[in-house]
Amino acid sequence: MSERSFPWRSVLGSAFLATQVALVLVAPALAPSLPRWAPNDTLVDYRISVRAGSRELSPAEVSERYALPATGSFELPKAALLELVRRREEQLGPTPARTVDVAYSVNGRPEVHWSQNAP
Amino acid sequence: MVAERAVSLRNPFRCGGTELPAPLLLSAKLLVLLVWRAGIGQSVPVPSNGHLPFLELLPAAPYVLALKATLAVTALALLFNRRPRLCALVAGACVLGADLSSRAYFAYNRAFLGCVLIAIGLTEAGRRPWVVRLQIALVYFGAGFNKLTDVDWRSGRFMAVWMSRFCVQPGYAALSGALPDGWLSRAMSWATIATELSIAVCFLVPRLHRVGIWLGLGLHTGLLVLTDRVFGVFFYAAPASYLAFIEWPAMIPIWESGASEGAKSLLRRLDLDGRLEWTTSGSPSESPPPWPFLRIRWGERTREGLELVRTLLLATPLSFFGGFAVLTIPQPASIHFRKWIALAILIALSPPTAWLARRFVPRANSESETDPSPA
Repeated sequence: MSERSFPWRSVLGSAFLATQVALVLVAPALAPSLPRWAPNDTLVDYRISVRAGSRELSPAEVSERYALPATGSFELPKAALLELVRRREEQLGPTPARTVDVAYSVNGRPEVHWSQNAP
Repeated sequence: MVAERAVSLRNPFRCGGTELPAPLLLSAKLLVLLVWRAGIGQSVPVPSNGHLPFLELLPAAPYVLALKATLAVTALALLFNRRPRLCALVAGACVLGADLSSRAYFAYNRAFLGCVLIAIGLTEAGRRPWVVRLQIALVYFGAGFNKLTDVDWRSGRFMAVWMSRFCVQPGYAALSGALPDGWLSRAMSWATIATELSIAVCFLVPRLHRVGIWLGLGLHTGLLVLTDRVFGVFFYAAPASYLAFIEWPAMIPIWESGASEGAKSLLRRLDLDGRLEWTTSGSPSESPPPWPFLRIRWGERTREGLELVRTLLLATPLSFFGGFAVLTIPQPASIHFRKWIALAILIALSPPTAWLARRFVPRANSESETDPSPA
């Protein structure tokens, strides 16, 4: 079949663009952790601490756990940061029992804590 | 003859004669050079906690190796003009796939690079590259729309905090202090929102493409000068992608009248795609052209003097490769020269400078038509 007979590139291109348009328009309300072409629009200062059993993980261990520095700045929406932590904890399974605390401040606002206990 | 053409097409600095329009192929080449320069190929993460969870089902080490190898092979093939559309599509899919495979690794600037390469790969032969043009417009629309719906952007709060953290120009703090509280950050927020949305609109309207290009270049250069940040690869990828809005004539008739042999020889060497058509008859004007004593026909227009130099610079792939090399040179910690070079290039080639040159540099032929827009 010749390329002229069916413009598959245009069809794929349209679908590719339509997916992104949907993300741009819908993601902020329905799924704020999804990518939606909002680069560097938020400044989240955060600090992650994890207590597993009776032991507090070191910053290096926290960094290895989430592939993020234990303390730092994140230029994506806070929902993306919290979703990253939540999903990672989900991946790690129910044991050992642990408490995760994310202290974060969005655009210089007062610090807020987000905690999760597992299991 | 065929063999000669095949050999010349293997020159990575050539951008004509393939299935993609020359400016679009140049854009793709600059983007894959950026993949190499930014080490994106080397930093491919193991899929984990990403937006594409199915990738985590694949064996990690072979997956990463295959992705790196595919990226390297397609990037090289694209640079050497082998199946450039297919290679752009595959290389873009590799970059975007890697970016989406890990939430911790994800960055919009890499996603942009990947999406533009994919969109270039989805260009139909012989048609305008509407997918890539809409892709770029969509990115600016998304960025402007998100800011517009964010209360911290509308109030200027984000800008105030962000600039206090990242701005390297002391003038900002001084100006901010001299103005009423929050006024400057609010004005800059709204200016950014208006600029991004304007760029999106300009890229949707063909006769405003060039306005969009200069607005975009101004925005990104302004951010670089203010913060000394290139935002991953975004500062380079955005201008490279704008080549999708450029159309170059297939042939450029050129007349000379007293030009030095050196100048003519240099032009012939730089004209890798053989688009300059050296002509002795049918000059659009009887009067001799001013320095560099050359005249070209650009579409329906005639160009000479400094405007000719500017036009040829903006229509020669080698200029872009040179600019890329200069701007991506690692800068020492003590001398941050990149932003000033970028600003100097922007000012030198911008339409206001071209207008000033036309206004104040004497011309031999005042009847020749001019076009204020760049190549």
